[in-house]
Formats: sequence, structure tokens, C-alpha cells
Amino acid sequence: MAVGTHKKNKVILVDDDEDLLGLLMSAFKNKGFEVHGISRGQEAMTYLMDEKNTQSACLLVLDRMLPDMDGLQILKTFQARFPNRVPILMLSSLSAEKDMLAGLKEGAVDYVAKPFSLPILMHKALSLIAKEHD
Amino acid sequence: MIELKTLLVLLFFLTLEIASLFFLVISLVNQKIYYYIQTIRYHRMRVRMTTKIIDYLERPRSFIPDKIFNQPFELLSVMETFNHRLKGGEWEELKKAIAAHYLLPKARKRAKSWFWRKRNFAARVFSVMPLVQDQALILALIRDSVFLVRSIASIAAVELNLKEGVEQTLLYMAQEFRYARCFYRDILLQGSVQTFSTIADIASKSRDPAIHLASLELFAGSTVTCPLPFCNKIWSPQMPKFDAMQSRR
Repeated sequence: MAVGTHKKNKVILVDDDEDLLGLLMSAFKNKGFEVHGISRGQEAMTYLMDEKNTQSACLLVLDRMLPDMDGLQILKTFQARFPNRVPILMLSSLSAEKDMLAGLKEGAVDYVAKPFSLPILMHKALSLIAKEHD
Repeated sequence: MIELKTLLVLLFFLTLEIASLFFLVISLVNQKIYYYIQTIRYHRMRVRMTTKIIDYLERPRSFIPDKIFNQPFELLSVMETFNHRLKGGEWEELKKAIAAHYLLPKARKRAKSWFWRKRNFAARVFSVMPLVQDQALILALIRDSVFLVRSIASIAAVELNLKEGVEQTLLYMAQEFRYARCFYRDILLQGSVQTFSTIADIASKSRDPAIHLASLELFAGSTVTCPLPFCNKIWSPQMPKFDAMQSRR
């Protein structure tokens, strides 16, 4: 994928599991994206509410169970302020039907349950980014 | 003279008490220091193992045995953490290689141990890396007298969809109350469609209402297709048939 030719090239990752965050950051960096990783809910909220930070973003990967906040709350607030600006992919170990529906209803375009397959997650993420660029 | 003797005896006991207290304090401090060092060591070991595994996942290549993985308890804990995060892809290959080299040989030996902690280790290894070749050991562990062994062995049995294991897990679920029941329920809910058809098969052959109740709880908790023959069998004769109710809708 010729990522460098597009204007939006930033992937924002929010997950409190720092090892997994590192692994995801490295996977996206290897695909040529600019990556910003955040491990705290409040920090994510502050970062995402700043318009400058999300202007160049092409994907937001958001974990639900953060130590200080529910990822769903971040999703709601972000969608209320910048509706459909960035495709959001929810990532969570809460894999019950109602949890998935809650995420999708609030505006997430996809919901990936943990444990997940890294190649499948990357495939989904790249498809969403490609759609966003189109 | 007697007073002096009494005083000396008292002094002796006082010294003895002070010395005992001193040794007690020293041993407590030693224990604290020992556990502190152990915690740091354990944390460093985990970090090194995690970094190595992440490195393998970032740059997939064939696994080369490394002495940093030579701590079975710590390695198992790291593997369990990764298993809660990832599935499939490179992780599955790497997990297979690490488990085959460092964990499975030890688990096979420890599965028959007299000590429940060793059997718990074996059950945990089999739940991370269940293999059909270990089914005899898994089925033996599932009948263990210790909850922390049999409950974890159930994870492996359900993942392998061993009919005997699924049956035993369903039986435990039907017999247990509160947390233990939920534990088995969650294990069975994570089973495949095959597991659910095994449950339906067991439930339709069983006459135990507790098994029927546990099975219905599982079918209600999952979005798998409802096994109508089983539901019709346990449905009350006074009530309309389950499939008839569905067609009316």
C-alpha cells in the first residue's frame, strides 16, 4: 500500500496493555504509518479532543477496558465532537453480543474481540484505512 | 542471696526474650528482603521473556531455544498473558514451538504428581497448548479432587472438544454453585459449535434435570443455533412444541 502518498497517515492506538500496545505500534510502523500510542483513558480523551491531533488520523484503535475509563465513553465523546471523522476499531476482551453491539451503536466501524489474530486485525485495519483514503 | 538469684534468673529470661525478639525481627527483615529481590528478579525475567516473544512476533522467524525461557513457572505465566491477547498467526506457531521445547515435557511429568501445585502447572500448560496426544492426561486431570486443577483442565478438554471432557465439565457446572458454576459456564460458552452439539447430545440422553438446566443456560448464553430436538424433548407436554411456537412467530 502506498501509504506515503496520502495525507492522512496517522494511526492512534489506545490500550492499557503496554506490551500489546508496543506490538501493535510496531506492526503499524512496519506498514509505513505514523503511530501514536496511548495507555491511559484520560490522556486519550485529552489527545483526541484536540483537533490538530486527529486531523491527519486515518484510524483509531480503541480498547474498551482502560484502567481509568471505559473506552465506550471515549468513543461517545469523540463521536459527539467529531462525528465520523476517523474510522474507529474497537478492541476488547468483552466479547459478548451486547458489548459488541454497544460499541457498534456508538459509531465504531468494527469490533475485534481479544484474543485476536494479529494478521486479521491488520487486514481489517488496512481495509478500513484504504476505504478512508478512497 | 535468694533475691540476687531471682534477679539473675529474671535477667537471664529477659536476655533470652530480647535475643528471641531480635532473631525474629532479623528473620522477618530477611524474609522481606528475600521476597523483594525475588519480585524484582521475577519481574525482570518476565520482561526479558516478553521482549523476546514480541521480537519473534515482530520479525517472524524459526524459534531458537534460549536459556531465558528456562524458568517454567515464569514462562507459563508469560505465555498465559500472551494467550489472552493473541490467537492464530505467528503466535500460534511460536506458542507451539516454545511449549514443545520448555513446557509440555515438564507438564507430562507433573500431571501425575502427588502435589496439587504440580498438577495445576500441568493443567495450565495443557490449557495453553492442548494437544490430542495429551488427552489421557487431560481427562485424568479433569477428575482431580482439587478445583484449581480440574477446572483448568476443563479448558483444555473443551478446546479439544473431547466428549468425555465436555460431559464432565457440564456435570461439574450442573453440580456446582455460585462462582464455580460460572467458571465452568464460561469455559463451555467459549466452546465451538461442535462443543454445543456435544452438549445437546449429552443433555438429550440425560434424565438429570440439573444437566437440562445447565444446558439450557448455555444455549441461552450463546448465539449458536438452538438445538430444537433437545428443547422439544424437555418441553412440557402441556405447552406447544418449541418449533411450532417458532413457526407461529
